[in-house]
Amino acid sequence: MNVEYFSEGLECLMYCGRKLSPEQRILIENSLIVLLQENRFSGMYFWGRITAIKNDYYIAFGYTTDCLKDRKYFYSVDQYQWQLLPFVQSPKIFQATVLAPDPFIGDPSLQTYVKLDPTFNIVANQVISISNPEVIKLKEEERLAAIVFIISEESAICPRGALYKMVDGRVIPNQMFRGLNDLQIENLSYYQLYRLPRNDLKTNLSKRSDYNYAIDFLDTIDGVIPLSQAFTLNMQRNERIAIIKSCVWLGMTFFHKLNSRKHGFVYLGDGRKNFDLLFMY
Amino acid sequence: MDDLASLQNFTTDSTSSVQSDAPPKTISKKEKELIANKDVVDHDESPKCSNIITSTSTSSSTTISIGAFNSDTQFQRASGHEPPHIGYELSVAKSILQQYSTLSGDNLFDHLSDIVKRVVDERPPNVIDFFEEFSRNVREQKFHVPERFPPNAVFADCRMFRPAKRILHSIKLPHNAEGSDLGGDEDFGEEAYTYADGELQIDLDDSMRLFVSFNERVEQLQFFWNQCGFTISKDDIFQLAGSINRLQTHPSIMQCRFWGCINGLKASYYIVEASLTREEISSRLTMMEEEMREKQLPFKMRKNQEPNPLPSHIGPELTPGVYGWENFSPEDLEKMTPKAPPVPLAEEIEFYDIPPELVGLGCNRYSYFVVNNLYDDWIELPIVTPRQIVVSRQIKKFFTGDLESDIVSYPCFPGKEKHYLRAIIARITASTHIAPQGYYRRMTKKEKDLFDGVNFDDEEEEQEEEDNYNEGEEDTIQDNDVMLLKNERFEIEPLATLATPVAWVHCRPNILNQGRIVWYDEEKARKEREKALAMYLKMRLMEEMDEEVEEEEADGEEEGEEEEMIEGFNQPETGPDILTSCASDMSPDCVVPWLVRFTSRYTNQKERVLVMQSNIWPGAFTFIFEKTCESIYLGWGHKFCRRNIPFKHLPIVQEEFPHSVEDFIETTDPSVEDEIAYNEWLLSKQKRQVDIGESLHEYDGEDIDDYDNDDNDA
Repeated sequence: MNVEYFSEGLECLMYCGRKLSPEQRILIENSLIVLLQENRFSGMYFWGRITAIKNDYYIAFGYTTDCLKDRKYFYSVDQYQWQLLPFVQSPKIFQATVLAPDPFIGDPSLQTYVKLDPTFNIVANQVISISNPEVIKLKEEERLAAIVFIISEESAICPRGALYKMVDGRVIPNQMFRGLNDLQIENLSYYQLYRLPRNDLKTNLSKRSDYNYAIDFLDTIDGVIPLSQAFTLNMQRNERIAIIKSCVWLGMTFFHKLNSRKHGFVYLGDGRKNFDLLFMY
Repeated sequence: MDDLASLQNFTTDSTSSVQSDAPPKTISKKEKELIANKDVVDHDESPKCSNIITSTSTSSSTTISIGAFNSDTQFQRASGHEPPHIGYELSVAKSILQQYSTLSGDNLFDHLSDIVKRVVDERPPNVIDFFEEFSRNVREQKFHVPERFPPNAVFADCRMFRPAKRILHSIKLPHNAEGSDLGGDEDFGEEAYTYADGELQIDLDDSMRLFVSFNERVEQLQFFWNQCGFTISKDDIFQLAGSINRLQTHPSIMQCRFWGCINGLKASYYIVEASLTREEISSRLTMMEEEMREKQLPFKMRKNQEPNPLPSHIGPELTPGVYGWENFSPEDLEKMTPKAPPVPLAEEIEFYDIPPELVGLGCNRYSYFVVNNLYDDWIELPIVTPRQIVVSRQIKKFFTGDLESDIVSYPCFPGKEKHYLRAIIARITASTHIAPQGYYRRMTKKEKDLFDGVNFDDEEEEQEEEDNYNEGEEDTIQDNDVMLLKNERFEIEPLATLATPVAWVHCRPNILNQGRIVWYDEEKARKEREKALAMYLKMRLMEEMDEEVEEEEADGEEEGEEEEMIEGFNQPETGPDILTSCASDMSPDCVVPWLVRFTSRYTNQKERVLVMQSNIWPGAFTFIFEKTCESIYLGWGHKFCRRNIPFKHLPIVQEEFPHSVEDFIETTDPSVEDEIAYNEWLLSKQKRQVDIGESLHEYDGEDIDDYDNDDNDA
């Protein structure tokens, strides 16, 4: 959620049941403005909070030129000083993060061991060999970085038209965005995933008849698997705010105000994937 | 000239046409005529265009003809008089820009000037980067304006209209009910008084007032929730306070409090916990007891039981029993029993549930009211049965927001979503309602009697009792299923000492694995039922034989069986008592069941609030500030699970009915004659059924013969 309308956004997002206490709100808002200034970002966003046992982690990100490609993530334990999250590349760490059963502790330097699932291979004659489950050493800071990356890849949302692709390929927030209107706001195909598109450009464009190269390059959320189960949309406050909650990452909430450029998402949760989703409908 | 003017008149809605009024004075006549010609051409080529510019096609054609005529006359008058100069070039360029589109009737000149006007007026940042988008917006808006005003158009309902109207409806002010208004005020005053004192007062006309332990003031609590960082929105809280007030004034409700909010896929539930008045409970109890008695009866003893009608015809008809039966006379055949095994029928097996706890006791001590939108009326949830609680522990579902929707799950959940919701509420309440040690106290015996309405002593006595309840602590009742009262002598400790689960206790009774709070001896109940059934069957038998002997014998048997029951006494299931420490909470999955947080860690030390967050039920919070301690739940209604919930597997597919060799005997197909005979037999049988006058004794042997021949061949 953009720091520009931080308090207002939080008010709109409280339909998830949680928000920040006044002290947290003041600390975060101001320390993020400072962070924005120090890093010369052109946009600063509050990402959310991951509950841990000792201290909660607060996450924020900012960008300089391209709001999808060069996002820089920060975390903070005391809501005052922000540290850069490391960039995780190893797929093993991502696997371990998704599978890690224990909650976050609240100490970034802590190391835990996570047992991956055993892998099954069909060797020959339908004999299945089971490899020993691998044990991965996981630093909590890396785990945090990985979980933040996964959650924002899978469930961060923006309304259609909020991001604009320039001629040189950069993606920036659309200054001319005036919000979705009455007819569009309840339609899931008007919301896009806030990430670099994974689908082909042509597939994304061909999904709609009134396509626009500068806007429709992102993946829409109505195509997220499990289809029509990954997100729920509710209209709140006299049907003027659309609230979208992710069912895969419970705690991810997105809001968009009708006919206004205000939108944003916040994750307030414990960083656990809902593996039972398919059995829960 | 006329032509241009007329065109301009028709396009007054575009902003530029006003501006373009100025140049015509400088425009040379030659060029004017050029414009006119162009316009004429446009009009001729596309009638569509003229439709848009002018209201009716007939009038446009007249203007065109006039224009053409005028331009011709102008041409003759003013040809070749002016030398080329910049004004002329400009106007030529402008006329090109002003060409009307054949599709939309718009022209570029208007559009550009609109854009320029918007940019100058609004000054959007970096407009060059989004020029296409901006231009599109301008055009979109331009076309929206005129659509609003057609006189015959339908005004579409505004999106906010319907909810707004319903909200207004729900908080409609009483018109001239002054009496009720006053009454409401009085109520309010009393409440405020009792709270201000911080002590419970005995209300003269309502002794139950003593037992109000719920904090009903939602707006005050909202302040704390806001401080703690979990809340519902501000607008909602006022409506919530209003609707809780509406609920509270209902005569059958003693007290109520906001329990929390459970998210659903389509709508979320606002939940209010209420305890009913004694009268309401007793009236419900009588109803419930009747129903339970009915259910407790063994299956075969129920009155409404009707023998299922046998299927009239399944498969081939049965043959009489003896081989070579054709030789018997029809009368003998009638008496014979069929040899083939009878068609298996579905037989109802008796299935006993552990009975639910009575209204006002155990899990059903409080009743819960839910609503999707705060402007709707509250809906009471049904009572919870132990089986629902047990099954709800094995499944995990999303709430949809519709109380009547089905729960599709394995194992099958006995009930609709409202039952599931009720079971989840019971479980959350039991495990997450906590308070610091000493915040609540048990009732003394006298209070309990008063609460149950056993003896209505004089008020003085009660008061005396109240005075010494703390001394007489030994007669507090050691029972799990109790309602706690607020301890008036509770002193808040410094928050730092409370910041550990050890200092907190559970203030709602634990639900056993059985799904009840008070253990129910299933084994005993089963034996009792068996006994009752045996007695019943015996009675049926006796009724046929003789009525008098039966009673004595039954008495004798009862005594004998009672002894048996004592022998077969089994160990009751136990769980943690009410008011046990939260530190002893156990969960195989969750390592740390409670998180402790302060709302302010650094700055506001004096007024900070302590928040206990449950990890087992994410979304359950309890806060304490001075003497205010409240629990609330805001979440999805899902229990913590380490990775995924261990769903129960489906049972192994059942084996088919075992077939023996005799079941597969090869036969010869019936011949054509046989079939004809069979059909004739069927026809004659139908005929016989129609003729009521005919008696069964006139059974025709031959008809059966034909049919059975077929079968016997088989």
